[in-house]
Amino acid sequence: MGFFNTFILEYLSSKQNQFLHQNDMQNQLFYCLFISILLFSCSTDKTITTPVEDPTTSAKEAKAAVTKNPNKNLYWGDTHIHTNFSSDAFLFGTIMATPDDAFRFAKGEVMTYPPTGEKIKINRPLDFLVVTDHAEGLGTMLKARDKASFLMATEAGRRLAKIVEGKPGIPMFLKWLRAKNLGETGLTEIDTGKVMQTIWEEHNQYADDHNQPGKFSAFIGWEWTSTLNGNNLHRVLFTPQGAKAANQFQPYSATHSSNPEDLWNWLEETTKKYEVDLVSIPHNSNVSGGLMFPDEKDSKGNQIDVSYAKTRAKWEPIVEMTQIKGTSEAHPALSPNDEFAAFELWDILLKSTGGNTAARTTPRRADFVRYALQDGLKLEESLGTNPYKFGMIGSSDTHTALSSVEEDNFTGKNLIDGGAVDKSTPWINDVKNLDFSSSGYAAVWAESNTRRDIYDAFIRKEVYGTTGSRIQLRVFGGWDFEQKDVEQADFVTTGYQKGVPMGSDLNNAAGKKLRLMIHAAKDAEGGNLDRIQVVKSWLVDGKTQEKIYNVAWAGDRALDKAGKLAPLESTVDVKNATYTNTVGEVELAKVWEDPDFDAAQRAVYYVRVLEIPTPRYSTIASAKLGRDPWAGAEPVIQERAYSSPIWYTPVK
Amino acid sequence: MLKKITKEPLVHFLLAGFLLFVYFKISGRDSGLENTITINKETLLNFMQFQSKAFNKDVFDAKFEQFSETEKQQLLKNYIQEEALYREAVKLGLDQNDFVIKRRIVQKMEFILDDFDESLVTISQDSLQAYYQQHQQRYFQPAQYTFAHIFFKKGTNEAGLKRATAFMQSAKHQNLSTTESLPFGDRFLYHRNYAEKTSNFLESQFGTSFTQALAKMEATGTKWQGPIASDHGWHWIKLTHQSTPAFSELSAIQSTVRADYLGYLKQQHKQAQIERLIKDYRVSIDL
Repeated sequence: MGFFNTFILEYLSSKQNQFLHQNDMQNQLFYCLFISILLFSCSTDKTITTPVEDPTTSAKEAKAAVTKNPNKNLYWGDTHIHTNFSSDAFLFGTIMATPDDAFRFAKGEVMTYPPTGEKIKINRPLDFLVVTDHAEGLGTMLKARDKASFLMATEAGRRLAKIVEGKPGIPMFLKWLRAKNLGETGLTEIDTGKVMQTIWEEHNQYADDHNQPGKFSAFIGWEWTSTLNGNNLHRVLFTPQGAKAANQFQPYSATHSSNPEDLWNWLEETTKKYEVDLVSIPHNSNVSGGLMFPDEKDSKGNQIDVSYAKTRAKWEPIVEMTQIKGTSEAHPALSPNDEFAAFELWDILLKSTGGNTAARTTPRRADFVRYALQDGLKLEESLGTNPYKFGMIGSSDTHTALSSVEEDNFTGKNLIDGGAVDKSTPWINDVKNLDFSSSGYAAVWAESNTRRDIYDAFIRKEVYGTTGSRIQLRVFGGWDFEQKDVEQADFVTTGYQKGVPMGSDLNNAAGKKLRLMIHAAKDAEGGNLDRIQVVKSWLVDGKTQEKIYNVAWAGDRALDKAGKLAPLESTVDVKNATYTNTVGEVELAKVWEDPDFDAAQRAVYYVRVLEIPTPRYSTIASAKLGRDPWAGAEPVIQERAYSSPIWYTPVK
Repeated sequence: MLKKITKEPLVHFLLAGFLLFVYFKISGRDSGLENTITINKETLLNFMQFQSKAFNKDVFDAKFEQFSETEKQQLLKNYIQEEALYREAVKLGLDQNDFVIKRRIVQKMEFILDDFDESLVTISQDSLQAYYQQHQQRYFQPAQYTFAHIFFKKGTNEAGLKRATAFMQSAKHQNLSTTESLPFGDRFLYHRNYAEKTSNFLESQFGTSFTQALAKMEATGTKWQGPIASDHGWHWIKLTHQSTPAFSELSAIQSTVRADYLGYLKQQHKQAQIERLIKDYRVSIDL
């Protein structure tokens, strides 16, 4: 841990040129703690076994009769939320915001935003939520502050309680840090034993209490916070089952291992042993330093083989590709022909440069989902199986317990940067709070709003992601769709009968060209739609290719020779942060045939829907403060939705 | 007049000041405590910690000891520069009437007053009940609707209305179940079925005239009613349930009310502290 002291000193001294500001202190704390959490490393796994009678379904869910819609309903949610059970959130001031608050806010209750005391409420409630606190040190700050008896019964707990006396802040953090460096906190001990069990059970109870089959699905989950040398390999995990099932095991953390391959092994063992279901969702590949979607070696340096590909595809069928720390779809440097690739990018690594600037990563193919989908085709060609066959969602990763990525109602990354406050304040070094993105949500097509149906939609990848807007998007792939099919009242039934929904496979071309039936409707309370695009990637002679097709659009624009479409006129009044729906369409629908389809080539397609330009959250904040937007962020954005892909595999 | 002026203390003060100025000007040196910047290790360590916004004397002590001579000189130079500029600014009165500085100090004070300890509060069921009754409007549950619809595009010259009306002439159509109704009508941009949705939600997807018409409908669960107009066209509605708007029972939202009540007590506590401070001031208002 010698590195750690050096790091802190370097980091703190790098802050010398800034004015004292309470928010900075909190931000800095956040950063340091985050790093420190990720530095634990130990390989003990002491799960506690308790036999249970009914591990598969919570009693409440079994009793309720919920109406199912075979054509699926659309549900909105967030699978990535932190509360005061996360050590970093706690030490940075998310002290009062419990998992209970997280669920209540998501359900639409009025809450108090701690920094300002203002009443806040999500504009439109969510249908489901997963509270995913960091497994490393889960709830221990909170319990140590409250001197919980089960924690005080341990030597480590008593030490921790001394450390967290008083108000959270830098001195407390440093006390904790020093103790940890000296090995005095015994966090490894309390992370795995009876302490973890007690906290984990309490954490799970919140979800059970808030779960209302048919109305609101409250999931049990956590975050596995692995960071290799500042490179983000984080995953959130959740189960469709209730506390009874989840209490049988303890959440796998980076304390156990920082290698995803070990996490998948644990998933294999745990799901078998306790008859539970679990799904793992990687996020922030944009700052993985080329480690998230490797195409040669795994995280331990082993050659990627069939077993890696199969295991990964099994446990990680979904990727969270847009969130507060940026969108990981693609990068303009790697997709120069995509004029929409430069969207809410984020490149801040979780480590210090020792100077006044944050450590930034350079874009690599393995950092973005589009190239992972492409490399998946390549690996499938050589291995016979595709490790990167994943669907896509958005989620927030907010550390405020309050999930709102609504542009005009953004609650922030920490309990600092939400609402109409000065967004130009530094988060760390040269990173400003306005660099955060008010994004995203997970949209799910499921038969009903129950834990099981929503989880199943994740597994079959009938889900999509948005950057916070509630654009409605439906995609079916097939060979026989006609334009008139999508004009029918019941195009959805036709979609399932003649094709497959997003997240699925097609393989038997039989001399036909692949068609997509796409329907998009604007967010009922948001901006109109600009266009629908299909992003196709394919493999020619072992080389990956990509092309973006504009397939449906608003207004009387014509495609140019290169297939590009002129931008739609912006109606945004930046000064007042307003826009009008005088341009764009409320609805776009199209059956599109791939003009370049080649039945011999592996291909993967996903749909991207763009809204008309609207004011970014930072512009809305500056307007409320009666000033011009701060420099350093685009004042106007085009919100978007990304479908899960449809794959075409030639029959050999 | 002159006599009066010579008795004015301000004049004495200005005169004394002028004489001192002349004295220092002539003697060519600025002595006086306020022009001395005293630096010891303590000062520098404090400076380092505030610059870094981190406070741990031992850590910084160690860091200081490791500094090379050049680094120490640089630190000294920085400190002297900051201190001299600060004092000059204060001399020029730049700290006066600056609302940024004032606001910052007020914030610090508010932070000190914000010392409410939740764990010391016990909330009785009676006080919770009283709070709930006082703030009942906050716990209002609006009406919720569950229905299916068959949609006809607006069209031109009432074409949509004509098609919608003609559609329900048929007895077969009148008896359609929700599932059987799916292939009929036009594509609607959102959904065919809505379960327990509030009028606010529905308004965003259908518009105001639609929700007003819906509110007047009877929830038969069997009959297709309408057609009613929305922003998009005409709708036949099968309304299966409509809940009456009501205040949520305290028992159902106990934890919410409790959290709100705690927030209220916290605000009360802070306000009482502020009032207590204000009481010691005599306020003179001259409008």
